[in-house]
Amino acid sequence: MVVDSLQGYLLIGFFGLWFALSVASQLPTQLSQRIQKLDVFNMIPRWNFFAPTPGMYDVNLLFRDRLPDGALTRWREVPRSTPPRFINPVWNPGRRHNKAVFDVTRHLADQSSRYRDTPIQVQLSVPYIAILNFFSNLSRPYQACQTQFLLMQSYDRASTNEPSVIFLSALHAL
Amino acid sequence: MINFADRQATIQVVERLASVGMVIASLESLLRPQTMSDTGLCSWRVHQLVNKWFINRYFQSTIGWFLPYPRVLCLIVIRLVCAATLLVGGAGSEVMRGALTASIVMISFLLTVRSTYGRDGADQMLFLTFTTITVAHAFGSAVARDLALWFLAAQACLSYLTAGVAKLASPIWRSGAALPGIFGTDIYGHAWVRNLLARYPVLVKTGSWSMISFECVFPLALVGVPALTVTLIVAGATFHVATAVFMRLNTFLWAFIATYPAVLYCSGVVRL
Repeated sequence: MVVDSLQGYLLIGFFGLWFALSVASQLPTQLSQRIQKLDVFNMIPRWNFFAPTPGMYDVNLLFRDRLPDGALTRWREVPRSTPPRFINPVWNPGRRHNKAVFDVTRHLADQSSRYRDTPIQVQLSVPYIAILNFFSNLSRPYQACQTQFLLMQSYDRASTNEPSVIFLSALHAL
Repeated sequence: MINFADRQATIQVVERLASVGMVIASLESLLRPQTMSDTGLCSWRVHQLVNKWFINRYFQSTIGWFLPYPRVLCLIVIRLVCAATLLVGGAGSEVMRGALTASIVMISFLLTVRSTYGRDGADQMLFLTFTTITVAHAFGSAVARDLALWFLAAQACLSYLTAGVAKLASPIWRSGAALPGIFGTDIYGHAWVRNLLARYPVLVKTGSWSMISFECVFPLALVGVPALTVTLIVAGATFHVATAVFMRLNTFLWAFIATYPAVLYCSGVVRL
């Protein structure tokens, strides 16, 4: 490959810059964090799949409601997307919802530890509102006036780890 | 028989393999649209709060006009048609193919602006691949095609190397605890593999270190030793088939093997 034109140099600059930013973004440095912060459109890939700490747990979405008489319902779990089937290696439409659950939970957990002393900031964050919006719109066979959600992590039955709470919301009007 | 010394033919193979992944991803989104609806986790009514620009009146009347549900589904239908046309070879001229890949890039970009929840590494790789191909089509020169293929091959190597090094640096992966942990989950797990790993603990460390080794050495595919390149490509394809079967990462298979023709081209493997 011989590059001897302005077009060639322009393209080397374009692809070179994109690749250099991609490399820099893989390293656990301040520069990498800065690139991710500026990369609002997710143009720079991050390739550290399942590493260094893989997700070895499932996220469970639970909610309970306050009824008009003031009583609280028991906690109920929102089922995960379609359970695995033999066709999933080629066709897996539920994967995006399951990944969204994982992403929004991780985002909320980050916000929660970042604004530990100002919970109102957490309640105004996008992941909190997204999850609250999701739970608030679930169909219910009864009339409820408030709802509260709970995000938990659970492990394989063979594991010695007990399920634990990731996040417990406040009660919100429906 | 594909001639990987022909850069134009190689780009066409990349384009078709990536189109398979894009067709599947688009159909999956269309047939399970609830996640994108106003009551789903990726609701645009919520996600427009991410950035103050998204609630700007000018943005709302231009780009933002396409993003509310269910209008956004029209974008996915257009993306599906573009990818399907490329897959069946329905676009004859390079200009037409460039227009189709550019449309796929624009729509994928808009969907990323809309919400990043639920987006995975396969989406990243498909976006990168279609953007690269679009640049190659737009310039239409041999240099542009060469640089596009080198860029794709380099990103493929970077992806495996990063994943491998990150695992190598992790005590959970080195000890082998990661594999049973992942396969024990509902989201990415598999009962048969989990039981197999429990019955034969030697497989836990062997599997872990095989994956780390494969990912770390993948960039050697570019050193120009044909037998080594082909071995790594076959290992990579096997790895992705396994993750599709046992972890249900179906679009990763197409997104990553779409980069392999670029690796073959850059490593000098002529025919496969």
